[in-house]
Amino acid sequence: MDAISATPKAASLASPKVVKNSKGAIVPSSQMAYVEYGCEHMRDMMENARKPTLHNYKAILQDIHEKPSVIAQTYKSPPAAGDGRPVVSLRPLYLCLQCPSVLPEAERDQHAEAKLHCFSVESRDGHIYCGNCQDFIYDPDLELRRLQKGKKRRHDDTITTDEAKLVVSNSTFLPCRAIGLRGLYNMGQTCFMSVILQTLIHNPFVRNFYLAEGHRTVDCEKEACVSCALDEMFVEFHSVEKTEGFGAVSMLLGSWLAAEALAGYQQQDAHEYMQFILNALHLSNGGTSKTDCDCIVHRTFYGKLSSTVTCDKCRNVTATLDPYMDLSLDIRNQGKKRKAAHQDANGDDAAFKELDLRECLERFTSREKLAAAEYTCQNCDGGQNATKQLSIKRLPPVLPIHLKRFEHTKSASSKIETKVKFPMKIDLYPYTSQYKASITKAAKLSNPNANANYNVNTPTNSIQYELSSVIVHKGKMDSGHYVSYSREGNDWFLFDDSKVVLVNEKEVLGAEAYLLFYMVGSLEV
Amino acid sequence: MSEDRAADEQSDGARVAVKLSPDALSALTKDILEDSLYNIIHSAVLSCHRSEKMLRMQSAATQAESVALSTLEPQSQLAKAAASQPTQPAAETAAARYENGHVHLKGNPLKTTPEITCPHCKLPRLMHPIMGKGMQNPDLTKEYCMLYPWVQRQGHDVYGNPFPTDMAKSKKERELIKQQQKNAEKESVGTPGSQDTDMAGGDGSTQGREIKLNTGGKPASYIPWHTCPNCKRSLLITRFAQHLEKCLGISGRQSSRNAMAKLAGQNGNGSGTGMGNTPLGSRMGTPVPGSQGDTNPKSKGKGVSPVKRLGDDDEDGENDTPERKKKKKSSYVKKADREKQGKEGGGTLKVKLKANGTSKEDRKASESTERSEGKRDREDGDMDGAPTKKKIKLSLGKGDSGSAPSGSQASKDDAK
Repeated sequence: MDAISATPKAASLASPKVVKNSKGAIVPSSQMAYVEYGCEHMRDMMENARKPTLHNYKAILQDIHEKPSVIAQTYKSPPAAGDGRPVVSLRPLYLCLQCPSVLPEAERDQHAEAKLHCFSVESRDGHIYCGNCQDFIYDPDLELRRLQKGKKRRHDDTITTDEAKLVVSNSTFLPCRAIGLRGLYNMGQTCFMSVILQTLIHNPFVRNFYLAEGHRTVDCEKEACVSCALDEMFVEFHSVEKTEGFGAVSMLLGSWLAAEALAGYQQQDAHEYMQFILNALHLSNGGTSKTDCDCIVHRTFYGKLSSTVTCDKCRNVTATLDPYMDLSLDIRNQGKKRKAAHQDANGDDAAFKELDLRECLERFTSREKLAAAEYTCQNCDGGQNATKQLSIKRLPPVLPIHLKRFEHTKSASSKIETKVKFPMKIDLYPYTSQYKASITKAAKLSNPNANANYNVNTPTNSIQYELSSVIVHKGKMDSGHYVSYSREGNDWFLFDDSKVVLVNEKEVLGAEAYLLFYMVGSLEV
Repeated sequence: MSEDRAADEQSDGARVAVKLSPDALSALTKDILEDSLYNIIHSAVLSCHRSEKMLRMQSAATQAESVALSTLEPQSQLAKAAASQPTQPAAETAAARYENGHVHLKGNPLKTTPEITCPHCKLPRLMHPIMGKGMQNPDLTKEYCMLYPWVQRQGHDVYGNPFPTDMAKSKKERELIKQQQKNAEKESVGTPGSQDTDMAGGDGSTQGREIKLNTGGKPASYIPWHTCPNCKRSLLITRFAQHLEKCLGISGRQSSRNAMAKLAGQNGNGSGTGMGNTPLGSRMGTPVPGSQGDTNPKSKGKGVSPVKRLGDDDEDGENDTPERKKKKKSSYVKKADREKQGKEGGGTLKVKLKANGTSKEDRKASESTERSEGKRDREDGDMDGAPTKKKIKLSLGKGDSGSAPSGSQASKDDAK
């Protein structure tokens, strides 16, 4: 919802108009008014006792997120009704901001009245309840701390007043409607391109890079530059009050000139195009061939996959790290093995027609036997049976997952139409090298929960990712159509060529996904 | 209560489990389930509460600031005139107090601020969609922020624009619409014909009057034009890939396939059979006449003579395989000759009619590109019925392998 952009380029596009309100007075358009405090009572509190308030709140947040959850979820039953013994609750409790009391909802307001301790903190997410307002309040300062879970920010992005002035004087009003929701015209079998572009446009990392003038067309000397074409789209989508589709002509031209294999009036594979465009954007945004390139593409999509091969004879482990931009998962039915397992369970044939993404990831990172012919151990100096295992060493902020729906054999190509279920939120920790290492260690120590912190709000061993885009291939192998779904805030939108439609989560989760994009749930900044 | 149970469970777990009564487990299960559901609902409600309250906090601040600045305006001008220190703006609304750049809330914004004000344009936001699911007629005497609530309506996008219909339409249908359009009025480019009633219907539901509510989009029949960055011709966006392929001289895999077939068969028709094998081929067949059409009307629109046009085509063909070039060229010569004859009055009746038609259009045309597109369609359509059709089709559309083995062109190809 960045309707204000400080980019001079965007400024040149949108006419710098003066905004007047209903009374005809000039309104400083590039300035947003915001309230100072969450409510009147919080204002009193903060003006009189800012330091202790912030300190107490931070301590409570740390309790909620770092200590075992049972601490914040236990209260003393009131002496009047019970015997004052501790009680553990599953429902949220309220931690008084001014004293160490922990109270259930029923006694929360009583405490506020009796002790004049007006504020309490809800024990699951750290929301603040004001007893005087009888409502939850969202104080800007405290909300910032809540979202940081009581941790210190590593990078302070405080804007000085000088900088704020600079922003105000250099920004222009942009139409409120221009929030990047526009379709892309199908230029004749170009939907494979449109879906990838829509996904990039709704990727917050890529968007912020381009809207912050990450790639300046003025300074770019490349002919038919793909990055310039993308920049043009970002500017158009975020500064023009148009709602019809957009013709990504220069993108098509740039792509065709840069990638001969993708050129021509015919349907292409969206995954192939994604690989191409990511590489092209990497090259045109100061990408280097070093492993730790800091271009926008690598910062957003680059991860590392660890592959370990253990020789069955000498137990020698060789590990290699491979970079990846997406995980390609096999979705073929696992033949006899799966079948047997399922028939043992319930003998239901329909059950194994449907796969789950977590199952695919599990399979992807599971141990795999290598025959002697496939592996030569350096230690034993000869072909040996070995065990191979893949695991995720490094996760990118946005993880594209490719479901291998198109099967190519020598004789024919076909599409696998297996339904793959995928979740809105996924914990990727079980597929990381760290986890794989920890379970072998835990097996040795016979202590499976060695580094658990017993905290349900922010468990240590969990890496939460949220679904951000889905690309769907409809139809047959070579006469299909691509559409995509992307999330903006909490709303999901379907992008079908030039059409943009609001959809519900159910439709998204029911789609026959081909590419999935998971974005990290939260980042420490 | 549930809390007691939870505590019981813990202490019991630490000691012995025997103390639990037989009902305990079911009661415990029920309590845990209830608490879990409570938590899910609690967090869902709270997250909605948060977003709504924050919107209203922001709105209260925006409104207070607007009031403060509107009262400030004349004063500051006075102050400027007096060249003394500017007065501090201050204002008070029912929801907030604005003092010297700081806004402080008064009361609960969920109660005090029913309306949401856009922090960017300072105008009130519409609270309900303008059509479709959950629509409500807004007070049209006011001006609103352009960010409307998303529209959910069959056949319409999130802004309330009807889906483009033209893409799916056949050439003849498009032609018909263009015809109606032409008959209806003569000026603007994108003004629709029959589709317009649809659109008007949509707007009608939101009051029908010419008011500020707008979806910002185009009618369903609208397809934009775009200038080809390579050759500077103007084209329908939906035909762009098709054109660009020809324009850049890349034909992707198909060209190599053609070349392979040619090498293997040493026969012009080889390419045709090669295409027949793949489903792609049938689709690939269409671009050829299309691209020819693309080149033709444009040059006609510019009023270039047939001879000049011939030259154009030569340039176009340079990137093609020699085989193709030869073919294309020969066909163009034929067509151009025919048209020349037509203009000179020596052609067939059919061709003559067509030539007349186009010249009439040229005179009428205000937006030449738009008209020329329509003309091309009709031209193609006419040719369908023309006696010369088979010959042209064969020479152009390589995809039509052997569909019309009659005519001299075919035998010539075979001979090659």
